[in-house]
Amino acid sequence: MMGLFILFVSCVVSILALVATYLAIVERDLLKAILYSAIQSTLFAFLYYILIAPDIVLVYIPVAIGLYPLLMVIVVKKSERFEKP
Amino acid sequence: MSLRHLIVIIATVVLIVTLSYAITMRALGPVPLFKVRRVSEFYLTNAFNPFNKTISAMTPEVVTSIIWDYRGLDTLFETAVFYLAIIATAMLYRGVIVRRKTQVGLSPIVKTATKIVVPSIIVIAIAVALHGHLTPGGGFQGGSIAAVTFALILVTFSLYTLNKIGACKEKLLALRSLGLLSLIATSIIVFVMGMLLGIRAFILQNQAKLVSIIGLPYKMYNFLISGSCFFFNVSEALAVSMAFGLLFIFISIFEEDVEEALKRREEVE
Amino acid sequence: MDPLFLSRFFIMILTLSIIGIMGISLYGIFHRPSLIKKIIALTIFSDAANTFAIIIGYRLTKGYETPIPPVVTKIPPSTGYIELFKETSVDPLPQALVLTAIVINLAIIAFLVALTLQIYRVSRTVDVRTLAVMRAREEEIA
Repeated sequence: MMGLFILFVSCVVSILALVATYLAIVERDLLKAILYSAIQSTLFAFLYYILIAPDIVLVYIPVAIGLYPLLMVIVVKKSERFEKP
Repeated sequence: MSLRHLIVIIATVVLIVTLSYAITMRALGPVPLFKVRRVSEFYLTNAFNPFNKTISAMTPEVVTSIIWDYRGLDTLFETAVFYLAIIATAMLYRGVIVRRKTQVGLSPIVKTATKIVVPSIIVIAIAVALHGHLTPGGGFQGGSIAAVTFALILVTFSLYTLNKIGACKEKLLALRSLGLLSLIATSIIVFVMGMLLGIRAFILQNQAKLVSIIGLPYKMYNFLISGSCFFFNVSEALAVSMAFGLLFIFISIFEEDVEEALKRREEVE
Repeated sequence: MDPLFLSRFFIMILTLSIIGIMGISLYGIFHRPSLIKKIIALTIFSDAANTFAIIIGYRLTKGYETPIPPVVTKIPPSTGYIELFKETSVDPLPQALVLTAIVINLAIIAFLVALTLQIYRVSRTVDVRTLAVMRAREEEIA
């Protein structure tokens, strides 16, 4: 039954990722939005590991958890931090 | 809640419900599968098959054999797209000169910790890139892990330190072009050798096939190197890590230098 | 409980949440006025599309046990091992396609970030509505 347990764990992880992306889009402070998006990327990396895709995990962790938040934080630092309503 | 808000939200909800209902009722094919596709059965059986050497890629790692041997043309074009993006970014920053400035960086504790961590990250990146044909890994993975070190040095020390240890813009661009040149050379080497010896050969050929009897070796002194996959992985790792370093340097140039270059451009026009 | 029914139920919940993420990030791209928020929503959208491709690539074995990753571990392999490998391994084709897609998305996002910085330097704002007003005023004068 381990094949079914894998699907159950990935269900739970994807629902948590849904909550994290809702918080990221609605947030008005851009630094907090970048942080929520990094949390969502971490949950996705765990999802790729559970669904047995080892090559994708090795690309996804440096690119989506390391490089995207870094680029975004540099852009936010050089321009505005809060989003007007 | 204005009318526009409401229409957007209702349209989004209808999209979500319709697509997921269609997929669950197996309108786009049976999910989950008990048998893989016929193409994937072919790839799984023939990626490392010593009984049928004419259509095998002799690589124990199936995903690498798909990327560099069975569908090598896709990867070549994707590398070209990445190169175009870097050139477009370099064009936005034309005429910018990085002048020397004093910058302090973070505290000595962080600097010492970074000095210990950066060589380990580079060693892991090289190991992942060189073993791409035996274990999960390869060119992109190793290159991306090595690119994290550029970001670390940039944030803890300063941009001026990066220039001082020899990572200026021109040198990184030259190294990246060297990696791309060796990628192209690996893809046409069997074709050129076939032309010189008078035997029929193809571009992006890895092992010897039924119609052409020339190819790269898959074993060297009892080590498995899988023909062209090894050389592809090494050149791709070099090219990708240098590209990321170039991107970080462009993004983090000081604002005063860029404003000065913009003013000079406006005076000329 | 019937294992086949359970597996279909879990796949339904997984698909629903991934398409929900796609819908929320599409709303973020259209309806939020800041350029930086649009770029964040674009990265979330492309991640969800890649995850969907990998979910399709999963497979169930006959006795509902764990499948193995697509790596040959016995060198040199025998014919029986190749048969077993074909029956219990995960689909390798979606993983190769997703690898290419991740690198191309990276190139697009890097160029968009450089463009956003240049827009801020020239017009001192990243709000789309203010930019539209400035552009309309420019076209009136010219």
